Amino acid sequence: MYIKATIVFGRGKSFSCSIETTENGVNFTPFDLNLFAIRFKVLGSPTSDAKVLLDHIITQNTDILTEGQIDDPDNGKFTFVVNAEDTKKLGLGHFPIAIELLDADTLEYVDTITEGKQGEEFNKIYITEV
Amino acid sequence: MADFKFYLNRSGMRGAKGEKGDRGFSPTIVEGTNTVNEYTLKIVNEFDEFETPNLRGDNVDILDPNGTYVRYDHQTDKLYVASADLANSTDAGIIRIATPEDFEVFSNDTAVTPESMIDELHKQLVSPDGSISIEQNSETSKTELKFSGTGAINELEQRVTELDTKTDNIRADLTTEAQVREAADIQQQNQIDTERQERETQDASLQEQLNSKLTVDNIKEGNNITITRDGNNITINSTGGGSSGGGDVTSDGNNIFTGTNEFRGQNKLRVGNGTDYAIIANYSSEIMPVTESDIQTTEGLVIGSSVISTVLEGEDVFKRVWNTQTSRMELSPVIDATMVDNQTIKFDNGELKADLSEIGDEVNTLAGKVNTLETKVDELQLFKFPNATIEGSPTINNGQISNFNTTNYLRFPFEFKTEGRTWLLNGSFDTNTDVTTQQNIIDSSTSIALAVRNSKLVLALSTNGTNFNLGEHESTNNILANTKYYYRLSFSGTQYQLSTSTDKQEWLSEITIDSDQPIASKPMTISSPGHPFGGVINLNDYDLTVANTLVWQGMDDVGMASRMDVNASNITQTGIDKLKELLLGDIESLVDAINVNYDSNNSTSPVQDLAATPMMLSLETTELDVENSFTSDKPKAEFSDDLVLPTNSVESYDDDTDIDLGGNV
Repeated sequence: MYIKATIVFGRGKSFSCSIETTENGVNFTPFDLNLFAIRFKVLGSPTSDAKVLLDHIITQNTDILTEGQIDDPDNGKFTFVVNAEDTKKLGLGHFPIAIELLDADTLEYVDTITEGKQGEEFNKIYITEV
Repeated sequence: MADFKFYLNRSGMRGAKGEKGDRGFSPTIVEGTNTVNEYTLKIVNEFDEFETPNLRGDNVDILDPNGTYVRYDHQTDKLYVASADLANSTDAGIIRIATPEDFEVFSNDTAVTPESMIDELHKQLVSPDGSISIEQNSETSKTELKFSGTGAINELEQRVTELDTKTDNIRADLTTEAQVREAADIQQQNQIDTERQERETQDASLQEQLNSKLTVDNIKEGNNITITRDGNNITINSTGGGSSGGGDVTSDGNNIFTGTNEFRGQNKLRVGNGTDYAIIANYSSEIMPVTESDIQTTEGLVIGSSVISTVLEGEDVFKRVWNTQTSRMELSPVIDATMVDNQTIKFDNGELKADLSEIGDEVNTLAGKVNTLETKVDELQLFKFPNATIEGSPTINNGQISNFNTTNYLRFPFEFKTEGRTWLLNGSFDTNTDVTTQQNIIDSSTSIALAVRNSKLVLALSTNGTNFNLGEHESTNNILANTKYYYRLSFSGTQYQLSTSTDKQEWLSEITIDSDQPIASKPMTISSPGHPFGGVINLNDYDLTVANTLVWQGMDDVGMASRMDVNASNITQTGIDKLKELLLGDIESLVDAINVNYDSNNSTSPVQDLAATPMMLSLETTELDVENSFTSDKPKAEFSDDLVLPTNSVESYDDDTDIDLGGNV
């Protein structure tokens, strides 16, 4: 399943996310985000060399309304935001997104939450007029 | 509940490789908007399409299409394209290089470059009068200024020309003026010459007329005048009289002075031998006795009323005698041979001589007596006496007073009265062994008191005459026993000062009292009955000066007091008179001892006669030879009808006639 978030141009919207882990695909445990930060990117194309049109670093202290926030790190929950200004910058259309785990202290890349494949589905947002 | 959930580590079995998929769709990209301010791309996907945002970024407004500057608007926070502002006197901006047209309009917003300046400089310089040419050198591009010599120079030249003309005119005027004046001078000179000639002609005529007057008929002989004519020369001779105004008056023959003659001035009578002469001084009513200064001879000396002359003879020495019968002053011999004793003074071949050998012993005796007399006179002159009133019988020894007691002391001959003037009292005292008991040196009731007491000198002064209101003051230094002290007590007008000395060289200030009040006037004593001085007071050291004038000395010059055996207590006026009588008797007896006795009818000595009767010198000649000579080339004499020359020799004199041989005759 891939994210396909629709946002009305000029309005902005926040989206909550949670991360769980499983070993057997049966039992799922919340992923502890206390040691991590989240990076939310809007890309120009679903390629690795795509231009980053929007880049938000989300931590436990960022503004939950404009940037997003790791609001429940113990349970692996966080919120990412595409605010009204971001929609104006991006304009209308579909934009691939990427959500990455970063080390909370060094902000070094750890892992990508949203994996997509070339030629296949990928996570994206859709900015519409209405 | 989260909008999205992510599951990590969720994976299934790896499936089989699937079939190759269909060829994918490639979106197309086309240009959307392309303007100066906006550039977009339209992307067409398989199912949709979208347009990119403005890829040009921030918009830059084009306000001036021709502008070439991007400017920033602070108010709108936007960039825009426009032209740059021009620079002016207040704001910075761009400025362009001036053009020739800018020079013409004197542009104030363009810049001058060196090149434009060089090119335009010659256009901006002007020479209003054209005296200077301004051109740009095409080779060097420099602006050259050349003086063309017009305008001001011409004006200068014109002014110089005018000045030259004026100078020439002035020169011509001066020349003319000089010529005129020269002509006038010549004319004036001619007039002067003419007048001179006329005057000379007149003078010659006058002279001729004058000469014509000098004829026998015009010049008459007067008394005692003889006139002889020889051609144009007229000789006038006088049988008497003399010349006037200096020169020699000589005439041959005997000259007779008759009538009343006056010979004024200093007259010299030349004796017959022509060498000796006598001078008779002016006199008032009678012929003065000839004195030593009046009579000089080439030999000998006329002394006072006696005459010593080698040529005198008895009948030549006369004395003036008034003849009561003839009422004339006559000369009679004073000394003749009969009057000479021929011993001490004698006539020898007509010469009056003194034989000193006769009086040698007498002179020696006289000299001895004179020496004795001189010694006594010196002693008399040195004798002094205390200038104070002596009370009791103090011991007086050459002014040193001692043996003072309650009855023996001295009084000042006056009250110490200075009336505020400055004064200085000098004195001295010799202490004895006692310098403790009070001993007064000077005392008064309430004026000045000076005493030795308790080895000090004590001074008390009174200005009110009632008490010693200025207090008692002790000396700074001690007074020693058996010591002589000199002291000075003075009043300067503002201060009393007492000083002492033992040698009259080094003085020590002992007491100083500031006061401008004078001392009260009271009688004063030296020593005092109440506190007699035990030592010696030397009155020779005492004197008083008031207002710088010596008014009193302790010892006074008495003179003849020593001839009497007097002491200080019994000298009286009678004693002084007696002393004078005795001394005068000594002098008279001395005079008697040198008198010369004469066997003559004269009972008195010639010395006495000489002292009583002055003698006159009479000349040998009895006639005055006066020679008068008048010629035409000598100053003409002035004759007076009153002149009468004596007819006889000079034997007698009229007392009322002044003899003046030095003036006009």
